[in-house]
Amino acid sequence: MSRAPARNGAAPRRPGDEDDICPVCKSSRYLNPSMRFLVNPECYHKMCESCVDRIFSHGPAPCPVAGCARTLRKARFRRQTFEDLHIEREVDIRRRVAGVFNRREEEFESLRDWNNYLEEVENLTWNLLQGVDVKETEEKLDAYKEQNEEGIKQNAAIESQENANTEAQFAAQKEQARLRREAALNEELDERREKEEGMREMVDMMAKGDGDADTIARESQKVVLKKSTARRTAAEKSRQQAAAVPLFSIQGLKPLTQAAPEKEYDPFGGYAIKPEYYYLRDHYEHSWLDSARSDAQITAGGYDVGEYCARAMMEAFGGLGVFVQDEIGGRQMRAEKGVGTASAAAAGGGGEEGVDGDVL
Amino acid sequence: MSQMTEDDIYRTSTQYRLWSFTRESLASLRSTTNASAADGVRAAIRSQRTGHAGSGTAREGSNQKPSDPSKEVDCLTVEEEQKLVGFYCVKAIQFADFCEFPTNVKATAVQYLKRFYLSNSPMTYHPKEMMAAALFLSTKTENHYTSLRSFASKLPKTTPESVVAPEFLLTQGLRFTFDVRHPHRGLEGGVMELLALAHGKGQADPESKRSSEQIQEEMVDIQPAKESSKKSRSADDVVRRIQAAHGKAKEVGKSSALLTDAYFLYTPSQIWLSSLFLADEPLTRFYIDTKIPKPSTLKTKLITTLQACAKLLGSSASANPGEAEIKALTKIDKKLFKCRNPEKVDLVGINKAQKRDSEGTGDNGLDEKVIKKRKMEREKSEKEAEDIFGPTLAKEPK
Repeated sequence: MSRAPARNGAAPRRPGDEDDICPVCKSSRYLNPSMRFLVNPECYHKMCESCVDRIFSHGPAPCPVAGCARTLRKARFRRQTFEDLHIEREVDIRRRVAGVFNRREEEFESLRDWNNYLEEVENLTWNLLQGVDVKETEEKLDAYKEQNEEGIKQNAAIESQENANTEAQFAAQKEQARLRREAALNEELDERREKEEGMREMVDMMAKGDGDADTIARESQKVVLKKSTARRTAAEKSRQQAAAVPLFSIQGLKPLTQAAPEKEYDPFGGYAIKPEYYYLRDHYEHSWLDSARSDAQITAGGYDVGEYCARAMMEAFGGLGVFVQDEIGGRQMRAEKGVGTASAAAAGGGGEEGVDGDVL
Repeated sequence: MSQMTEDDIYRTSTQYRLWSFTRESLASLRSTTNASAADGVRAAIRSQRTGHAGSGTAREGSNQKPSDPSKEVDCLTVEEEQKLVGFYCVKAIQFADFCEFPTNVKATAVQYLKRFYLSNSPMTYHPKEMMAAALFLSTKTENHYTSLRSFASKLPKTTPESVVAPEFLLTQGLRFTFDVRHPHRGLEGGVMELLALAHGKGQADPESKRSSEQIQEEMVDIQPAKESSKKSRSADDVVRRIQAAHGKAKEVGKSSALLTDAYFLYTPSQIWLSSLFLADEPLTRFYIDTKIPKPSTLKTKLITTLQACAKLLGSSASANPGEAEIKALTKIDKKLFKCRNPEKVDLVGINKAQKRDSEGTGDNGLDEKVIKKRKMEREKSEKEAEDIFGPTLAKEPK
């Protein structure tokens, strides 16, 4: 920036504009002061804006730099951010990888897992940077992207939300600082103005000659002091108010985690019926079933013939393999004693015995 | 995910858990019920007599020995009780038919009666009153709304109070289990599947390689139910045959399945298969073959069980009792008149007394002392409930 004013009318200097000759058309800044250089992240070869316009405005074309020959598109040309193009490239690659591998620490069970993941990602990035196994790495990257599309999208959304939050916070702090500065400035101005006014008043009084000059000077000094203290307390108060009420920001809030979507309600608590003796068919032919299927009076209420069929089949074979004589015989004792409730037992066999007890 | 078979589901039912018995346990349960009820009757009659003797005949009969009541009171036997309950089961069906109740209401009412009289005796509670209560309860549990007033008006000598009076007793006797698993819907399901087989759309079990068309052809070749009847020639004949068997089995399910002990001894699935067995044995055998194609212990056991059940269903007396039976029943009823438990005759009064002692008086079965005590207790608890700091603490013994 320091040298920018020296070249009148030139575009503000950016890193990479040092060598002022376009490697493609060899025109220099001397001839074209508004020359800007652009790079394409495909090959990071630098060329001037007019070259880009000239070569790529009719669609994709090979890179004009000798020995490169990659196909470039105009849309992807941009100004470089860093002076060193290697760094520019590294940052681009890192950004791309981080966009795909955007898992968050809280997703991992342990710190070790998180670190392992980070290491893996760093390996991938390094491979891409250094050009080792580029094809394989790209495949890996694509495969991961395809598999975890949903998760990536979610994490990206969370991240952008976080970024927006921090930005808002930052802006709020900035705004607060600006207000504070403004208030301080106003205060200073007020103070000066009052001082001047006091002086003027004192001079006026003295000019009228209504009393001793010394007393007037002392009096006016007192007034100025009083005013300034009053103002100071008012300013203090307003500052306190400003700090208390608006632009209140809390730092270190945890981001809200979205609750997992509720599972579908299962009225059978995970139990399923697995019929042993029958297969439920979709359609059964039965004279009255057919009429129930077509009768609007029945179907309008939500009656489902299929439900009836399922229930009928279930009841048809529920207990087919239960042999009461064998199974109940084993627990006969319990069946005889295990009356549902004590009072039921009293009402049943025991009722008469109670009367017995009273009489005898 | 746990898997349950149909049998597992049936095993969770109260019908299986509380109301399934072996023949022996059923018989012993009935005889103990009969014995304890007879004891109760004798004790009650004796206490009544001694009470009378104490008040009225103290002067003249003081030297008379109190006669042994067990000799005088001739109690019902288990068989007589069974006959009487069976008769009122038939009555219940007839009355339900008169009221045009659906089959499930009828069947449930009959089962309620049967279940109730497993742990209670007709000597204690007369089946005539219980029948009305059971039928009315079953209209409620089977979701067939009937107003109490119209229900009572259809029965002779019955008031709404007398219908609901034994209701709580009945539910106690049922152990508060109101679900009765009937074979009727199961029969419909089975016939639905049989018809599907006959139409050539059914599916046998996965192990057999038979196609549905093969099954359809095989069904035509099933032996006729009776030797005299013709062999079926086409699939339509088979359908007609199934429908005929269905009609017969349905009748069995509505009558003898209810009136015998089948519900206690067998599962609903076995009952409807047995009634189909009665109606058309070769067809049923064929059907079971499609379910369990290979000979196994389960199959032989199932067949023997079905045969036993079919025998039970076939042996039942006809729904309408004959002249001789009516005579026998009147005899039993007369006998019952003498051996009824006098304390449990006025069910309406007992019900009232138990519900609200203010309405009941001392002669309504409950002791006056008990009533007074209850009333005192209630008043005390009401008073204590009003006190915001709760009842006073019990004093510690010194």
